[in-house]
Amino acid sequence: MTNGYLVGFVKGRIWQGDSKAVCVPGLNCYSCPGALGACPIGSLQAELAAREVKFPLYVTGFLLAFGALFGRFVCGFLCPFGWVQDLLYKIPSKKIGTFKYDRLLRYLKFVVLAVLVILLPALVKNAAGVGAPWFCKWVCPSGTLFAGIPLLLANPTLRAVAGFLFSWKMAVLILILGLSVFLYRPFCKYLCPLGAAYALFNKASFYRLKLDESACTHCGACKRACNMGVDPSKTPDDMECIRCGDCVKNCPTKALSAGFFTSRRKIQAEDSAEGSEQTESET
Amino acid sequence: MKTARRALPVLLLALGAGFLALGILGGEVAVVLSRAANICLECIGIG
Repeated sequence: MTNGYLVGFVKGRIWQGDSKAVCVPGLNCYSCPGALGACPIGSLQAELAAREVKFPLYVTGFLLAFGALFGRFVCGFLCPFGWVQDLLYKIPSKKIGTFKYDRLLRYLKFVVLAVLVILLPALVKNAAGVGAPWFCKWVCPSGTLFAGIPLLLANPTLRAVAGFLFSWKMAVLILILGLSVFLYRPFCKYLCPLGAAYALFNKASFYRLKLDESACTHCGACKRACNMGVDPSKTPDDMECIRCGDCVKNCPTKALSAGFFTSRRKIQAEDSAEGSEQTESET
Repeated sequence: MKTARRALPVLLLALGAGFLALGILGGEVAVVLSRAANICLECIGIG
């Protein structure tokens, strides 16, 4: 839907309308020929790298709003590159559930966000006082897949100037896509700075998982169903949860549910329990 | 504590809306548009 400018794919050019000033929630390169909106990570780097912006209020506002509303639901349902990785994981093969440094490596995406998306574009500037989009330039496989490849295929001028950087980005893309066949969403788990940003909101977003502890039998079906390695019966608000809903579908006792404000009833129940405890202690 | 947790998403959303409004008033839309409406050579592996 956000990549609806189909003419761009044929003609090798991008949409230049005013809608490009508005960020879409997922990692969607604004140089994708079909893109009608802007990538929040690309835009954040653009603002930080620009001379005229002191603090990127506009893009930070988008991230705060999307994060508060959805948390990592965006990763599960609104990201085109996440969808591609999902499709590749459906290819029948031996699957790697977890490995020794799996959990530790999950923190790498926060380093990518802090260093490549925020610090380097903001601090390393050229003589004109303008920085570069380090993450887009050296890592982003979404940009290579949805923008680089289609534009180079359709535009001979761009094809003629492709060199080492394009080869490097192709290597990164091929590595991530290859891993995606065996490992569930490796880019989302270990590298995606947008996933890292939304992960910070998982404990405080409107859309979240709710666990009815009275109905939970701790059978482990939700943990086994989760490809992100989360145990929703222990941490339904885990930063790694992309709200895909597999745990909800697989819960035999319907103890898990997902939706907006779903923790409200539980919180109210806990509040009233706390209140009655206080009243008892007072009397 | 629980009430604070319930209020947090509302506060974050309000903060986001405030930041967005300030960003628009500060002319940041033009910065994003100028970047997004032109092919980003770094993004596609050229620049």
